Amino acid sequence: MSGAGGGLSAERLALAYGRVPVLHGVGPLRAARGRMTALLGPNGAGKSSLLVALAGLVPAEGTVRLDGEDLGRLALPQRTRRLYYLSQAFGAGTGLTVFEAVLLARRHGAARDHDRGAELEATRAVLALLGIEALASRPLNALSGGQRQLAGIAQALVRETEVLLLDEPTSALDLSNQLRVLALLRRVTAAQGLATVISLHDLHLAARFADAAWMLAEGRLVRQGAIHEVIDPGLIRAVFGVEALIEWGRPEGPLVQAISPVERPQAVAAPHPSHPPTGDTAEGGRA
Amino acid sequence: MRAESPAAAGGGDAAGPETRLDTLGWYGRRLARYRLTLVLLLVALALGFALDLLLGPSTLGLPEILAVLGDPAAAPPLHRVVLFDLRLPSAVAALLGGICLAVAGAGMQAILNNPLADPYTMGLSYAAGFGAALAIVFGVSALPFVGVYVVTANAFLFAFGTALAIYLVARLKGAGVQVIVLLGIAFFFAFIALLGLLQYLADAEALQEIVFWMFGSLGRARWDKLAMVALVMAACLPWLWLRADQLTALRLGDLQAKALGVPVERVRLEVLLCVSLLAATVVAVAGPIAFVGLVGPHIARLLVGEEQRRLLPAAALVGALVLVLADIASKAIQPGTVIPIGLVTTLIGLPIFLTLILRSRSELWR
Repeated sequence: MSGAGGGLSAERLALAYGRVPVLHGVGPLRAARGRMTALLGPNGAGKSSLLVALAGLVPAEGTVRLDGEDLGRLALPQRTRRLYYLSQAFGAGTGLTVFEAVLLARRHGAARDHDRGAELEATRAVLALLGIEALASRPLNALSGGQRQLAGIAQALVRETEVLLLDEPTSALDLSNQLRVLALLRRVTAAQGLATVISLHDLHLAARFADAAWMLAEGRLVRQGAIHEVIDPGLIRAVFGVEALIEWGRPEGPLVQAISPVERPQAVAAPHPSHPPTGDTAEGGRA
Repeated sequence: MRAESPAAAGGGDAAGPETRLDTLGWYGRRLARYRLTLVLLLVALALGFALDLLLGPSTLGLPEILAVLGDPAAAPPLHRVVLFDLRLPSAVAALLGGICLAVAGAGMQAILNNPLADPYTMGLSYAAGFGAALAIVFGVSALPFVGVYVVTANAFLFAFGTALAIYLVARLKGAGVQVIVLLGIAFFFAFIALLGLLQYLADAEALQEIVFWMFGSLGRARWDKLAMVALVMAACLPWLWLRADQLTALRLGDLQAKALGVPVERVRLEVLLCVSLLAATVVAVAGPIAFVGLVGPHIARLLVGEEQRRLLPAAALVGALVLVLADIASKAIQPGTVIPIGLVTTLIGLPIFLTLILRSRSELWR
């Protein structure tokens, strides 16, 4: 199932909220199976919109394929059994307990449990895996933002889908949980041949845990490739307006550190639709 | 397709077997507590129902009731009439009406993600009131051939018609929560104004009748109307039960519910129609009974949590219990008279409800 050409791919994804376009024909995109793909870009770049468009939760134009199969042909319940989207604001407004929320996801996920016991055990196992079994009985709206994110990740993992689309799932986690959860996601992704796309603001974490990356700016794909091709001082300067220190060869793993803001080149701040915004550095986009 | 479960792939950040017992044990205890809650509610409901039958303006006590039940043919005709045509229909109406209103409230609160939603706040009660008032003042019905049921038929038609209008507009505009809530509020005020206009135009006799209708009363219940309520329940409740998980998913927000495979807009509209049908039927039979649709789900939520598979049955039983107790109170407050139950539910229920909410430490909503 996870052959060399396998994974999630998308072409010409376009999305508008009312009259405001947020994605301008993004693609061709590819997220390989068994790999973590980081979705990077400044605020308002369209990262969340891209994830919901890939998940098929909004009426977007373009095609999304999984192992070559057009997901647009699948009805919502079938599609969401194959890929799962986790929103940034998971669970803030509900008194459902963590266990109930995760069990609910299990019940309608890809896995077919023979009986109620298997369903319950799978739910418990995922909570244990994330180290949040102690939170099982707590209502989601009584948890901290980080604890809720862990519950959301548990819901994502328990469904056993083939694709995970995670919208900043670690933004509220403490340092140790960030490292632990990203390492766990990387492990699960590799072991099960998942295609995992994870939007991140922390470029250091992206460099450390992702295999590949997509860089988005103003609703356009400005580059995609292996992680070290995307996390690049020139592109970071162009897209984020930040001077960054990047060291790849360290034994403890790569280091990315923002040093100081710089004047952003005009090309990225207001790109022309027909030109790749970063000139010769761009690989994707609508060019 | 996958060989490994997430747990197997993740390795051992996990806790040991003791924690394992705890989590599943906790959930087992939660389910056991839920079943016990249902049993206790059922017992309370049975006792309340029996007490409800014993009370009434006529002096028909326990021995007479038992005599009628023991051998109806031998009992005095007056006793039979009091029990079978007055007290029993009113008690059954309290039972069925409580179930319908509370389930309708729970459903509306779930689909609208709003703790204040109930048939009353959605404008259905006043729509029914306006329909009833039209029939009372002008004797006209929107339906032909309804005969003596003109008031009931009109009340139903306006309540359900309002729900249908909200449904259709919401469907055109994308079924957002705000659209539905705002439409409900708009209808609420529109029908209050229209009802006021009718009251202004009505003569003294009709005015009195309208005012009395708007109090809400179980005394209007007759077996044929109750059969209609039961029929609607038989269609709507199982249908709603099958969507319990989808309703639970809605509590995670529209986007996350969709990510779980719930066709959010469709479910919201279908459930809106279903719960409106339940509410409209009850309002048509008994008049507006405030508060049960609000208080039933809230008390149930305090008891069993937000999982709709458990919340819906619990809300149904709590709603029935509340209305049966209100029926008892309406007869007991001033022996010999029956105070309209709509007044009782509000005047007695409200302080109890507020006490419950203020004393509960758990967060009800958000």
